[in-house]
Amino acid sequence: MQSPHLKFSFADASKGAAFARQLKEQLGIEESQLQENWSWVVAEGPRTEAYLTPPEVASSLEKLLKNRMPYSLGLFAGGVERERLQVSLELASYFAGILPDRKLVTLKNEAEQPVLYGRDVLAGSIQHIEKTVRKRELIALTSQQEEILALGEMLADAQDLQRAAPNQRVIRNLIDKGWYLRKGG
Amino acid sequence: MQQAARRLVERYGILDYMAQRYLELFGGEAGAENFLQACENGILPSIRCNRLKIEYSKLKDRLEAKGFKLKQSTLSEYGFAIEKAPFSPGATTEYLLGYYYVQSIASMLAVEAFEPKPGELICDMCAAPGGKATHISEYMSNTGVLYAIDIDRTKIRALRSHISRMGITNSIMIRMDARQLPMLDIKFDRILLDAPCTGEGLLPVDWSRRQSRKLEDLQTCAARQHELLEAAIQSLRKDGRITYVTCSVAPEENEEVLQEFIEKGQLKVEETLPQIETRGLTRYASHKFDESLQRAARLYPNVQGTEGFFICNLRT
Repeated sequence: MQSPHLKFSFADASKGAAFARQLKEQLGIEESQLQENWSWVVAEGPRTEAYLTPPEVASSLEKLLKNRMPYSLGLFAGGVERERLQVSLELASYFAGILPDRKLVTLKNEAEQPVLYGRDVLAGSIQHIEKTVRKRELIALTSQQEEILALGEMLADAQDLQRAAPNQRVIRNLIDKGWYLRKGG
Repeated sequence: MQQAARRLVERYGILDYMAQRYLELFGGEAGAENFLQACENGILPSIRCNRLKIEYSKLKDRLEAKGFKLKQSTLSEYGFAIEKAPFSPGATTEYLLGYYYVQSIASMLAVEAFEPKPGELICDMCAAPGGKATHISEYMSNTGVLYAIDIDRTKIRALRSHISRMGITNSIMIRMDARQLPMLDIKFDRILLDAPCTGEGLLPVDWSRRQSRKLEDLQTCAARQHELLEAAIQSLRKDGRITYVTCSVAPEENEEVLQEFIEKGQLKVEETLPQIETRGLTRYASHKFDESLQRAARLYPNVQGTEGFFICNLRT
């Protein structure tokens, strides 16, 4: 995920505002709901990444950057492609408590393991989804205990799922917690 | 070679130099045999509950519902020994959710001795793969700043992964040789130096080490440990704490490394885990060490039922 050649710097106000806007679009989190005084940090190089840092980390980073580049820090917020933040599973998990209900899709117990092995979600695996969720929307897949297991992309409108066959793929698994085990190190 | 040493070599398949040293270290054949027998028997794997994410009782209930049998450690309030595991403890949903870390009780005790506090500026000099680093952040309640440093390209990926999995947000990870720590120009409140070592104390979890570590490895490790400690001293604020840890029972990597710094007045030994009955050595073979090294703690598989560890709190 992180490259040794990335150059870290604090995001300027406009970039930070853009990330906050994209966070709202993708996960429905308002900027005012974010941790107070956290700073956006950007790492640029062969690719671009964004991080959120608590004030004490930001303050220490400011001094560190005069001498050394970090490898990683704070909360990994996501990759940035064409100036657009692709929110990370870490970020979604950290803010799980404030995600709006429509962003949470609850899976049946038996679907937990397949999702954690990287599989997509079948229509018959869904316990609960808000009817207003649209095709291509980013959602968080949760366990029965409301724990975030993965981020997914809707392959159909939620209102059409009732007509889908139980074995029809309806949510694409973008990244799941099993990734740590499979590729994370 | 002494008869007793020869018998140990034959019975346990250890190298000659190890047999000689164990006879010295454990006060004769019976003591050495006691240690080696415990190493051969192995120790139970254990996990540390991540209290940033879940309470002990809930984690225990969830894992036991899956067929695990856990027993609260008598040495660390953070640890559970796994008495029965229906499958690998690294393959549960709870593991992926960062509810626990598969970690030895000895490693947990190292952080308990270190006593990190919320809001502090702390450095873990050789942090990968992250067991102690994530435990430190838990102690800090995810506040302050933890610098987690490691030089190994592969291991630092694992460190990042564990930090992420465990929900740690107060860290700054740097891939660098920790001997260059003073170049960061930071004065830390506390520094954990879990120094790279021969891993002689890991015999209970990796019995193959009885053949793979040579006497020269001891010397190489000791030289590097000395350099790392020097770097730690330079990067510590006045009255800060260094906790020196190795997973080795070799005095050459522990008391002997610290002795020179104590003699020069650069470091003072502080009381470390007083509940542990086995203490740092003041004598070994022809060596005599500072009396204050009795304040350090030694862990043994045949006494505490853990890996062999050396843990010592130090102040400048």
